[in-house]
Amino acid sequence: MNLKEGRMGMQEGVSLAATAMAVSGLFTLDQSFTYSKGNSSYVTLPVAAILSLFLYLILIASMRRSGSRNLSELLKNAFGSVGASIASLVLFLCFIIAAYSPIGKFIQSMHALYYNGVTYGQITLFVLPTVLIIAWLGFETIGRAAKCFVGLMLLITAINIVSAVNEFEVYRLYPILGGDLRRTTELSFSEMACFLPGMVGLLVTCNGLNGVKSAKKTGIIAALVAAGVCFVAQFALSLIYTYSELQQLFMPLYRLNHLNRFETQLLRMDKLAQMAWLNGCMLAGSFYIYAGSLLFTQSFGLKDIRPPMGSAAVLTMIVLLFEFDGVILNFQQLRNISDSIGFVVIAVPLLIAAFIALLKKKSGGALKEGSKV
Amino acid sequence: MGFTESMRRFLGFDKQDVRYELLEREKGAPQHWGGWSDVYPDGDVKKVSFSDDITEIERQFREVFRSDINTDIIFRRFNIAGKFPALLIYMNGMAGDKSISDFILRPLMAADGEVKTDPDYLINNILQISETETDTDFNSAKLAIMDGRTALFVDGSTVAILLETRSFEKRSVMQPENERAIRGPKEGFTESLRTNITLVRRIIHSDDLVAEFRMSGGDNNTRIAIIYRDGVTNRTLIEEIKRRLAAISTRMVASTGMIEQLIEDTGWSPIPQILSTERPDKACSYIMQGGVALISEGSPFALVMPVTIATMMSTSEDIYMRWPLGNVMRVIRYAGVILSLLLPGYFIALAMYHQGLLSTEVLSTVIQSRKMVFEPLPFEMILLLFVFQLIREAGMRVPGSVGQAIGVIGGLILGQAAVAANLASSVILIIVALSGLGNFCIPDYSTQISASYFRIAFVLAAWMGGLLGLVAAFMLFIGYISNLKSFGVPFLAPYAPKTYAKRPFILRGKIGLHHRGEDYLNTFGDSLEKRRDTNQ
Repeated sequence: MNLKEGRMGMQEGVSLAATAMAVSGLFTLDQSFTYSKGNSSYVTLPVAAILSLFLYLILIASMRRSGSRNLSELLKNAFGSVGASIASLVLFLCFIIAAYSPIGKFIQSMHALYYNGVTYGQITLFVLPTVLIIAWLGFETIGRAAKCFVGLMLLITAINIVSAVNEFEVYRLYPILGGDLRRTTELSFSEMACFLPGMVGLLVTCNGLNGVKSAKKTGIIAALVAAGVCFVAQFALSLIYTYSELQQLFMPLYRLNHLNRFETQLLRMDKLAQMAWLNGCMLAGSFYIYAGSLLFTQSFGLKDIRPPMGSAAVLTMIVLLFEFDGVILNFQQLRNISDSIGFVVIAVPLLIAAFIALLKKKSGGALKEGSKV
Repeated sequence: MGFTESMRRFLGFDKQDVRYELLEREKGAPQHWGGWSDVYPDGDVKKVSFSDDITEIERQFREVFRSDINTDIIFRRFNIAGKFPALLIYMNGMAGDKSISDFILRPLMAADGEVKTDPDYLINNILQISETETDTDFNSAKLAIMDGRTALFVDGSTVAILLETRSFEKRSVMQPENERAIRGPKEGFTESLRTNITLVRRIIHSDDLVAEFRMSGGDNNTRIAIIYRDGVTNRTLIEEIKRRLAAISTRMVASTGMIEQLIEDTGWSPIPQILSTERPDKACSYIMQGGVALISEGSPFALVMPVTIATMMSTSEDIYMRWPLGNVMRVIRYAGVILSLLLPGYFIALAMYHQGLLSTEVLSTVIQSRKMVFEPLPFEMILLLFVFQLIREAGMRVPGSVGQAIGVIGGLILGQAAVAANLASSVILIIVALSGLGNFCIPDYSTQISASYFRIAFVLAAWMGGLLGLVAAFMLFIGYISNLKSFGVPFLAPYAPKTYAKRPFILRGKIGLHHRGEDYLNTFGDSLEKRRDTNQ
């Protein structure tokens, strides 16, 4: 078996999962949809993170009680081999979409902000092979690289926010929480799609995280960190731009650095900030592709993760190029549907799996914890 | 074999990922994936015993050493106490004539009274040599003779007495050439294995210090010593090193540089995974922490393993200075490395793709200085980096003062002439010089060289894709070093993965805090198992 799992410590696990979730939470939101009636993202995103964490803890409890060492074993315990394969295939596609979302967004931003003279495909050729190679090197490598970059990304985000402090105005928060509690609740659920792939990724890679118990701690800390980062960044944006302005802005975090005119060019960090976040995006992409491929490999009984990983990367590239070349004309609509109900596709089968596994455990159908280890 | 099968083999699909792991897991010591329990190749060598007739023994050795054409080998027949025929075999020049004649031949020939030919009797009563051993294997005796020892055979006995008579010309202990320290000791390793071990033992007066000798595995049978602290250094690490040494099978192992390439984790990696040092104090500090040093006959360098990026970036001076000063030096060193790696590529990216990030003043200076330069900017950068490497290489290959002169001539005169001739612009010269200075901050020579080639890769990446290319290349670089391991220890430890450390990754703590070794070495004294045992 060559699953390239290795062993990862908690700090790397937290760095990786938090980076993936924060990148999805901060950069993949559809601004016209999220800010259409007001800005409540500084509440909805942390709430979505907490809801995802809640689901994660249910799954962890179910895995521990059913003796499953990772998500694929939980699915097998719950649905049997065929059912688990179908569920894994669905989750594999969800991971592909989760990888595609930030990568696509960043490629668009690169094209719009720096490289408007070249095609999307040319930019993709720089980003996607890097994502694939990092994933190819294995889970340990992705985690360690994430730990190397997480400090840089946090620092740059903090500098960008602090540099715009003079522009903070409380009146821009109006209408408070979008003025509509129902919509805020809806958004909280739909934005779970940003956090669930990261959390589910941790469940898939439990072996590499030194077991379910360690994965539990890692997931809790990662979700809280991601929720905190999303809250701070979105709240700062809410104090700087009104919701109607935010609807028009593409990657508003990038623009924070433009608010002040610095005397020296050395403090013009906008492009550097974008590049630092691009690192986060590539790591998130690698993580999702790795996790999806691992789930596929485990569920279909393959011995090597690299063929599915290569296929996943090619699939992501095809989706990206199709979107950029306009082959799929209504892609934005598909993306909106995925943003609004994507969480259901992930959460519902997993919740069902958790309950079935628990029921089986009660009737003595599943293995005891430790018997497989 | 079909195409599918050949591709499967080439890509190594379905093969188990077997890598030696040293780091402790949450569940205790790691399961060894490499299978070091394999039989050592040299364990299969058949033993050949001696005849009890010294004429036959002499014939065998004459045949093996080609004594008809090889006059270096000396066969000396004589009679012990004038009665018992005996034979001495030694290598001329490797063994000391004086010790042979004074302490072996004279006492044996001059012995009187009741003399026995039993080896133990001779060793205990007649031979005046301090280090002796007996052996019944022809191959061991042969290696001992080639090593400078003298073999004594007595007619009627099938045992060889091996006597320590090594005495050959060697360089005296001198100051290290490449790792000079202002505050540290001025002694460097020499080419003599014995002297080098003595230098280590002079610093470590510890009863657990062990020097295990073995042959390097090359056809030239160089002796090497594995030095470690028994009971402190992790046993699986020592076994793994022995396993890798035993697996060496090549024509010649001339120096530690070759051994390094033959035993490191990833042979094709440009970044070394073993530290090569000529300073005994540096080698000793890693041995004391629980690392292993490997010294070879004929090489003035010790190999230290396992290492991390922090090891490669530290010097002896760091610990001899007060901790705030030592830390400042380290921070400057790391900044120098980042400058060295990224500055040329970053400048190319800004100048070619993102001019908006440069101020008008800088941009106009660049344009002014490049007005008459004919080559494209990236080509000019690569050319100058190449010239810089050329000067460096030339400066190293010629004797001391001439080498320095070449550096000065290359740096100043050639640089000025190149600008005057419009072959290079002054801005690019400054960037290359800064990058070169940063590169010299790296203490380890091999790492220095590999960093200088990585920066060219970054320039190429920036040329192709601006900041995007540079970021992609840097991400791949970080991914690559994250994946690298040195004898089962991740190269970025103790930062990623985080292992026990009282101080941040780059900085060092006060001397008083250095009680415990580095956690990633998984030393016996610090292991979970030991602590559990102690608690029970």
